Amino acid sequence: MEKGSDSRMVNPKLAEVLARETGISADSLYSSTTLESLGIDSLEFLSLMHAIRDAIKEIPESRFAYLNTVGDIERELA
Amino acid sequence: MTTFHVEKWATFHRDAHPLFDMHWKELALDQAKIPLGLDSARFQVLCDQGLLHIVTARKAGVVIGYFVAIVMPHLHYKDAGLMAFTDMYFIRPGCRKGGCGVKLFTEAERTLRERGVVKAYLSTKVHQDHTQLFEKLGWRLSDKSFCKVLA
Repeated sequence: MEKGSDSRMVNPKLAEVLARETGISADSLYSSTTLESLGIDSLEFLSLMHAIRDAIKEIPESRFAYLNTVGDIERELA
Repeated sequence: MTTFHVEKWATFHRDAHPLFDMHWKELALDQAKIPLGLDSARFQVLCDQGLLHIVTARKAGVVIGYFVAIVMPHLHYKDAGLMAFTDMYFIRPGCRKGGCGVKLFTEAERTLRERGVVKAYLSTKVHQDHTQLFEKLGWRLSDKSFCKVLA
């Protein structure tokens, strides 16, 4: 998993959803983790967005283009 | 980091050129009879007339994907407003993870709306079928198209 310079842990609720949807351990997820490195395709990306909507809050489709990292998702949910 | 941009034909053609052959080889039918021959001059005319809508996906400045549509009033519904007729879309193999396809289409949709487009059309290849994705993005299956080599 790409750790990058920002190794803060993601918020626990988001980490739980990401782990459930991607099969990647929550402990391996960081704000700097790229969505590309999660290996998700477009359908899986949409499933992830739906799961985040159901568990936390909806991210509008018009913001999808700005989601490159887990940290970007965190900022949208803040 | 992948970023999405509305672009003009000239810059798009200059920077996306390496992808066109890749796109054609992966998706075009009847390649033995119908070679790739993108008519850049005609695309430029369409662009000059304000009829093109191009959205690119760029990674570190390099074009890794694109969506191109022709935007004009429908010939059958001239008073219904602008409509977008998708000409082509592609994402470079190896860059298709992370929801790049979803982002390209949602960005295309957002920018087409911003431009005043009221309805958009697109198709998918039978041999690389994206029906499920498009339906999840709210598109409705409305037509089936056919082709036949005649000469």
